[in-house]
Amino acid sequence: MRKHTIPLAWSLLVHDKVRFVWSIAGVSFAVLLMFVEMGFLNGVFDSETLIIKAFNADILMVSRLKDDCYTRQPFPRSRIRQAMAMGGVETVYPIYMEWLPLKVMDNSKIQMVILFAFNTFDPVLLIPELNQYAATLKRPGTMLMDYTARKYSYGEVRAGMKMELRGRGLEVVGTFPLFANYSTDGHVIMDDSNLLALWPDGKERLGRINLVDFGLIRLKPGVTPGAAISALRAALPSDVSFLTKQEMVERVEAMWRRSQPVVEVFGLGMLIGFVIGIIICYQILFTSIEDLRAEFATIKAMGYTNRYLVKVVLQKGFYLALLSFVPGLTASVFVYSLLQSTTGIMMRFTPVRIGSVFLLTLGMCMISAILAVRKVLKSDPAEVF
Amino acid sequence: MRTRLAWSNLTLNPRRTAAVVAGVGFSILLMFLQLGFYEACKLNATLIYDLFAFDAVLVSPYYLYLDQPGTVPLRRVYQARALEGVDAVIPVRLGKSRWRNPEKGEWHRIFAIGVDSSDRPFVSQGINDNLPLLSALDTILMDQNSTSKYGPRAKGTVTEFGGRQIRVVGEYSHGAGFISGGTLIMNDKTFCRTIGDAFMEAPTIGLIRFDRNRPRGELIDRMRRQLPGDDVRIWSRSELEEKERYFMMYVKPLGTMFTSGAIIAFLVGAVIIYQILSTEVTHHRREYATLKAMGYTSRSLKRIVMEEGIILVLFGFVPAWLFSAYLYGLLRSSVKIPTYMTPGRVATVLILSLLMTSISGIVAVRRVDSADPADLF
Repeated sequence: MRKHTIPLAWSLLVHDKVRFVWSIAGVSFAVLLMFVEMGFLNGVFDSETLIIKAFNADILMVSRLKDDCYTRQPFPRSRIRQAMAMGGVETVYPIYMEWLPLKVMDNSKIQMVILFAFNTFDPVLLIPELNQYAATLKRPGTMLMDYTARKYSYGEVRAGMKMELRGRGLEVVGTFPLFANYSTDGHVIMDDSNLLALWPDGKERLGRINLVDFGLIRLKPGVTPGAAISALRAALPSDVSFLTKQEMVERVEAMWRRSQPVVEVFGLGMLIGFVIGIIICYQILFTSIEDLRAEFATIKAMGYTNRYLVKVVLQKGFYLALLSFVPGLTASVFVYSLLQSTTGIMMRFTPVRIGSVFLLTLGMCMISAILAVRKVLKSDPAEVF
Repeated sequence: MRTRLAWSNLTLNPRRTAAVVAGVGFSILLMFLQLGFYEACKLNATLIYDLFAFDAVLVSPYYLYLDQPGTVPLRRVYQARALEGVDAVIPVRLGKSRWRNPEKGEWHRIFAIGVDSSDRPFVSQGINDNLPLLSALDTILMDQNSTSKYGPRAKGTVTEFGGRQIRVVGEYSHGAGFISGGTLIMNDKTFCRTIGDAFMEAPTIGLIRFDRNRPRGELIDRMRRQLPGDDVRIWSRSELEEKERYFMMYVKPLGTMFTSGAIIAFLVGAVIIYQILSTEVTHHRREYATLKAMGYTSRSLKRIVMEEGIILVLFGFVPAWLFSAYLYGLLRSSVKIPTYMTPGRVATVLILSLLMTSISGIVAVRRVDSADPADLF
């Protein structure tokens, strides 16, 4: 009795080609809307924590107060040596961080920039483009700059540009990709010797040497981060915190959630996208049930149960979700790359995000199917004839 | 007669029509919301500057926006004061630090304004009159319109800010928009103790007030020529506000985000209306063909379909408008985003909604042409 080579739900969905295409378009737009709003929401978090994710570390050492990657919150460099003396610690890379006005000599633009400085022979950042510059960056007056930096602030960034920091000339010897974000329009990387050379005065310089913003702790093989963190916490003063990269990412994200209404603004957009999706989907299912009222009643009269008819409608909702998700996702891929290139907002897909929008789409269509199915239950064979 | 036909077509199946009206309503709601955010962002961009009374500013050459303003050497402020036609140049220090919620103990960043308590830099005379209260160190005036995360903030509250214990000695009400959840005002010495000593010799901006009787444009040009050094810029108030707005809207770029949200909402609405109209035409194919056979022209039938679209949009628009007004209020009170239902906004969204239905209608009515009386029989 239930042996269909092509499910009934499928045939119902595609029998009117034009309406089928528009149905899919409507639900796909709702999917696109959810993706775009979610993309903006995640773009804030992703771009603000990108540098943390690029750190080559098992554990991060930061000031107790540091809850944002880009606000200078240094701790004494002596903590680095103390951490290095611990049993399970292989090595610790100190990173200096500084905000300085950067003058671009070609176009005379002056703009603040964030500088990260460390010993470039150490593998501090997991950015493959950096490896080739380790030795070059040891030369005085050299720096690397993020080529995705905002043109509004610095113009087009490329190798060979002449820059000025604190009145000293520097050359961009190479570029690397990171991302401009809400805190900074661009990133500069240089060797720590070149950063400290910007303060020729002995006293000022000494102050700078002794203050670092990050300590990247690498553990000996076999040492777990959990055990090492407890040991470090017990041994070192409480002015520094020890966190895994993931914990630091969460700390920064939590700060952003607290300080800006990003979740409310883009979350609301997503929610409305979801509601619109339910309504579109409901309208499609409802119309088709309405049109096929007689057919549904006939099937009932033939002895099919209500359960079977409910299954057909739910199945139809399922196909609608599946078929709309694919074009919705495809359109989102285009819209994401368009928005990323025109606005510089970081728009990334992850399997988890794609999965969650898929579940939302499915939920959307199932809710509509449940709302619409009540109509089928009421269809009475006696009414038809 | 025609409108009645359009109306009857729609009310034939009230449940489906209700679903369509809801769908259209939600896409209009989304347009309201996104455009509301867009305008709020524009307003917000200069919200903090609205506190101050000034004609022009002295800013750092690397001033980017309020959150990354750079500093101005104090001596340039003094030099500018000596120039002809300048009434006053008031140094103001701006920055963020951590405020401790006195109830829950959590830390939240807040935007601080440091002024000399003998100056009167604010538009509000109420705030200016309260400034002498700040001459005691570690005292602040607290913005009562700050978001709830800062906890109790009334006069008399004692908490920590920027690593020092501070006391709230006065209140005002303003808001800080997207830059921060709130603001507070303090004496410049308290500012330097809590945010950074470097600000003592280098305020963030200098507020310039001109002699009322002289043309401003000329004065600004002359100041630019006369002020030595290339470590400061002089911008008129409108230039500053323009740059601030441009930065927030198109560089950050919050404006672009909300525009794209509005565009998608528009498209979704158009697709929903198209769907219903084309379903209508298909359903009533026989009836349209009959009417045609009776002598009605294609044109008049198309008008009926267009009218259906307009009725749908208007029915979706009204609840969306009311609900948006409610949501705007909610956004204002809970997250302090200044979204207001202005007549301009209502008109813009109404026009967009009608445009949406016209586009869908024009595409959908083409199906009327194919209704051929000859097919009927």
